[in-house]
Amino acid sequence: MNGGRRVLVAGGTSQLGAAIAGRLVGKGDHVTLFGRNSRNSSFVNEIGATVIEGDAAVATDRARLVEQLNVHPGGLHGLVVVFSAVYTARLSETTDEAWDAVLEANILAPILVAQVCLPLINNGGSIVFIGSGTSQWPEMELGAFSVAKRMLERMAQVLAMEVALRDIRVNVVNPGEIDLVVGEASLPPLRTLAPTAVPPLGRQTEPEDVAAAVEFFLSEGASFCTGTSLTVDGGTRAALRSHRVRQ
Amino acid sequence: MTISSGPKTAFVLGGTGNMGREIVEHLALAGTTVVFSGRSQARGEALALRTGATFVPGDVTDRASADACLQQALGLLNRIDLFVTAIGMVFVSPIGQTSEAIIREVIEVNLTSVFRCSRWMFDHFKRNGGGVMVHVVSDAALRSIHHIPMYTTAKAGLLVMSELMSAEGASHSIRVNAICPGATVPGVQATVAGFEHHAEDASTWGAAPSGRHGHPTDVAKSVLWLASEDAAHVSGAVLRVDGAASAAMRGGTRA
Repeated sequence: MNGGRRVLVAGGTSQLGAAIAGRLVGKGDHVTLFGRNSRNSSFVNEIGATVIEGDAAVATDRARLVEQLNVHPGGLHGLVVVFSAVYTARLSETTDEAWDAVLEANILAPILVAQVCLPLINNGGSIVFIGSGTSQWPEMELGAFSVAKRMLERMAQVLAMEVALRDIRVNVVNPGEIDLVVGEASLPPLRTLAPTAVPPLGRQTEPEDVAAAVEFFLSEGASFCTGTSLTVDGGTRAALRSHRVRQ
Repeated sequence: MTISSGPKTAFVLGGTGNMGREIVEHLALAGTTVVFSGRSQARGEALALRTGATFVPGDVTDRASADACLQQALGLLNRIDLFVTAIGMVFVSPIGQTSEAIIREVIEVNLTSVFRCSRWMFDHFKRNGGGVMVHVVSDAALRSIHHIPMYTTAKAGLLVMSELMSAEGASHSIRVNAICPGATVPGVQATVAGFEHHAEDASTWGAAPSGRHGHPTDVAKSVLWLASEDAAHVSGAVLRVDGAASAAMRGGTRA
C-alpha cells in the first residue's frame, strides 16, 4: 500500500480517469478527481475518492480547484492529467471550430491545469500526462488529435526539465485505442473509423492497462524516470503491418 | 542531364522574415512568379522591389487577414504550384510562468495559422490536380529545446501536421514536406509587440557540428530542391538542415 499519498486526477471524471482513480485508491492513495462530468460520481463515492467539478478551460474553475486542494495540508504527491477529446477527421476536412476544440482539450487544458497545480506538488512528486499512441505514430483519420497529442508529449518533456530541480518527475503514458463509452468527452466524429486491427498481443487496450502504467510512474520504482513516455498499445505501433485496413 | 527550373508559381507565407525573404529571392531567381505575405510593409515592399515578386501584406495572427492573403495570392497567380510556409515566433519563458495569452499566441502563430493556410491550399491543389507544399518547421520539433517550451510544443505539432498532410495528399498528387532548420542566423524574429527580447539570440548559441550556424540560404536551396521534379517521390520527408545539430547529443553545446 502507498500510505495515503495525495493524487489529483484531472479529467478524472471520464471513464479512463475513473479507472486510474480506482486503481490508485486500491493502492491506498487519497484521490481527488477534477472534471466536468459528474456522471461517474456514484462510482467515485464507491471507491472513496472526492470530486471537484469544474472545467479546466475556465480560469475561475482552475482557481477554485487550487482553493479546494489547499484545504488539505500537505500538498500533492501526484498529478495525473487525463483530459482528452478524440475527433475522427482528416486535417483537410477539419474546421476551425473542431481544430480549436481539439487543441483546447488535448493540449491547452493539460498545460493550464498543470500550471496551477505545480506549486501544490511536493518535492519528489510525479506528474503523469495521458497521451496517445498517435503521438508516436500519427493517424490520418485522427488528424488534429494526432497533432495535439504529439504537442502534449513534447510539452511534458520540457516541463520535466523545468521541475527537475524540485525532484518532480514528468512522464507520459501513450495508450493505444481504448474502446470507451460512445460520446465520452469527444467531438462528434466526421468519419467512421474502419475496425481497428487487433494489436499484436491479441486484444484491445483496456483502461486498466493505462492505470497500471500511471501507477508505475507515480511510484518509487520510477524515481529516476522523467521526460519519458511509455506506449501501452499491445504492440500496435511497434512496426508497420501490411494487409491491414488500419494500422 | 538537365537542371530543373523552379515551379511556375509560388506563394510564400511569411516572406518578410529572414528565412522567407531568402526563399522568395531564390524562387524569383529560378524564374518562379512569386507572391509572398508578411506583416512588415517596409520589408515587404523592399523585397518586392528587389525581386519582382508581389507583396500582399497580412498578419497570420488575424485569421481573416490570412484568408484574405490567400485569396489575393490566388487572384494574382490564378494557379499556385508551390506553397511555402516560413512562419515562426519564439518566446523564452518556462511553461510554469507563461501566461495563457502567450501560450495561445505562440500556438496560433507557429501552428494554427500554418494549418489553416495549408488546409486552404490543400483544397486548391486538389482542384488543380496536384501541388507542392513545404513547411519550414524547426529542429525544436525533433529535439525539445528547453528554454523555448511553447515554441517547441507548437513546432512539434506542426511537424506532425506536415506529415499527416503528406499522407492525405498522396492520392491527389500533392507532395508535402517539412524542413527542420537548426540555429539560423539571421533567424526567427520576435513577433509579439513589446517582446523584442524574445527574438532568437544567436550570441547564446554554439555552432552546429558543421562548425557554423545555419543561414537562410541553406533553407531556401532545400525548398527549391523539394519543389523540383528531382524530388518527385519525396513526400512526408523531414529534412534536417541543421549541420547535424539535432542528430546526436554532443558535449558542451547549446540547450
